[in-house]
Amino acid sequence: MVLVQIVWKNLLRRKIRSVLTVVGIAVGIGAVVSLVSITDGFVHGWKNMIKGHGVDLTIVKAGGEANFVLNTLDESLGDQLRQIKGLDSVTETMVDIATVEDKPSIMIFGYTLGGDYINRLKIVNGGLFTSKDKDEIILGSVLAKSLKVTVGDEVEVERELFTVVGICESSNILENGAGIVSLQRLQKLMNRPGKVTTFGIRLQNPSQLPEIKKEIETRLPNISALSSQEFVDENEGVKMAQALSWGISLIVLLVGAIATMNTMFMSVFERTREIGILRALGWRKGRIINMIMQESIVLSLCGGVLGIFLGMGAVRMLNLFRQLRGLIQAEYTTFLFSEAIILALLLGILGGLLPAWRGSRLPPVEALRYE
Amino acid sequence: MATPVVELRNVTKSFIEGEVQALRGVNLTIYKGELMSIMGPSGCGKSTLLNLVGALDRPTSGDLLIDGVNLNDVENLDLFRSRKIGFIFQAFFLVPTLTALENVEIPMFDSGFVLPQEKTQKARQLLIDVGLEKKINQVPTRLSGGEKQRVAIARSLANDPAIILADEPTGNVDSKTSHMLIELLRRINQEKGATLIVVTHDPLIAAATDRVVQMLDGQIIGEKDPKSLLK
Repeated sequence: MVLVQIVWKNLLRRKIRSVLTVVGIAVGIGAVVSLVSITDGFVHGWKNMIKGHGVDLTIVKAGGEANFVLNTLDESLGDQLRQIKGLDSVTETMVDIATVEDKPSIMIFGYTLGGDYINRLKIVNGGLFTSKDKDEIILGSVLAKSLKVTVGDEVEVERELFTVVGICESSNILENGAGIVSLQRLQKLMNRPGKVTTFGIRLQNPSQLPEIKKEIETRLPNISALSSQEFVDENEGVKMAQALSWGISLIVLLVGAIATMNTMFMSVFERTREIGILRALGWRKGRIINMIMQESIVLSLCGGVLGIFLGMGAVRMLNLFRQLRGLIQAEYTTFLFSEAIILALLLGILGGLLPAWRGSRLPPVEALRYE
Repeated sequence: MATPVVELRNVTKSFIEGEVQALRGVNLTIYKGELMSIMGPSGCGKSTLLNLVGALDRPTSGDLLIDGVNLNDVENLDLFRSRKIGFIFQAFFLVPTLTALENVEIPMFDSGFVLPQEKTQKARQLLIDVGLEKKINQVPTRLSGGEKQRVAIARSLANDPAIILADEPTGNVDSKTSHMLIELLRRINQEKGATLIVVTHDPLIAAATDRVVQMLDGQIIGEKDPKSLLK
């Protein structure tokens, strides 16, 4: 017989309590796994979209947020940018949130006809819009599916009717769930004439990026030129999502550790006399600590593994909701799974330490007398 | 001349900062291979004496030598206890989740006497020695009182201890089983040469030992002829 067999038998002694503790930990770990995987998926999608647009630099307001929607720049800035040498193209973009049919928060991109962004769209059905002023819209495949519309149908955007001229498919979830109209039509629709949210810049020679970035920022001090990576890192939404997942992980660690500690304390109290017997029969304090710590860690690791499946299941469930269908793209990485297991391990260690210490400190004479 | 295995020299033990004096200057020598019993009314200090001789606790003052080693000089009581002492308790104190075999293996974990791979074989042999070869894989709830105590006896022998301490070993079994258990203890005493110290209320059990020490109010008040207890 080895110690782990004793540990296992001790945990099976109170099956319901052990199972409930494991489930409690699993729910916490599951929350972390689902949240972090969705955040990672979002960040990944965001990066893909920026890279997919083929732009080397994105222009945003200096000191402002690297946010597609909230950033506001004058469209005239484009002409000033075009005077800088080494730029292959400058493309204006506007992004806003609009109500499409009964869906209140749909991203609408305003792209310039003939510009970089629109030329890279992968149209799977129909085509591009024909004029910058017509009420025409291209829908992301996920949005089209969820609205149950196809090329030739009409959709209501901010109470104005647009004809669907094309369906596009992108590698990223944001574009797939969005609508695309011409820049000028979006400015008019959202009542933001002469305004854009960002400029996308393609360089003649991408290796000149640091120098050109510096030159843009020196010439036009009110704006920042961000590389794709910087644009993703600086994004407020990404930052918030990452901060949120860290916050939730910490709360899970705390709550999980307390739950494990509670279970382990109950288990140690119940076994006071038994621990006394083990001590009387010559078990060292270290072995008692080892036994209780192993019990705590086995519980938390089981919770961790179950939590990973629970988290993945939760993401699948979220995708079943009509409003969210296709909008959630989780990314599961080895790093995420390792993080979940390390988190479980940590809460097992934290939850087990105090009960183990207390158990080992029980004087055998007192423990044997305990009723 | 017989070799002393336990020597108490003016041993005292007090609790609650000296307010309760459980042992008041006890002097006693127990020799190697003895089968002896300690008798006395409740609260006379028998259990305290047993805890000290079992290295579960240290004396407040005086010297206690076990197998030639002064307990005051022993740093690691756990290791000392696991190597020198075997315990048999009135309420058996078996671990309920473990089988008879696993219970007997428990004392061998930290003694350093038995190689890990030999633990199971040794435990099996000890259970065969106490007549439990058919109950090796049973958990305590599936054993009778007598069988549980036989498991506890096998467990007490795990590290070939110099001293076996039995606290009311027949207190929870019927008279027939009690008789069988005392015979088993006698046999172990003779075959293994271990010193056996039995604490008991029962004159019939004490009568089956070779020497009877009587205690009262934390002191040893004398010895009795075991045969006289049968009258």
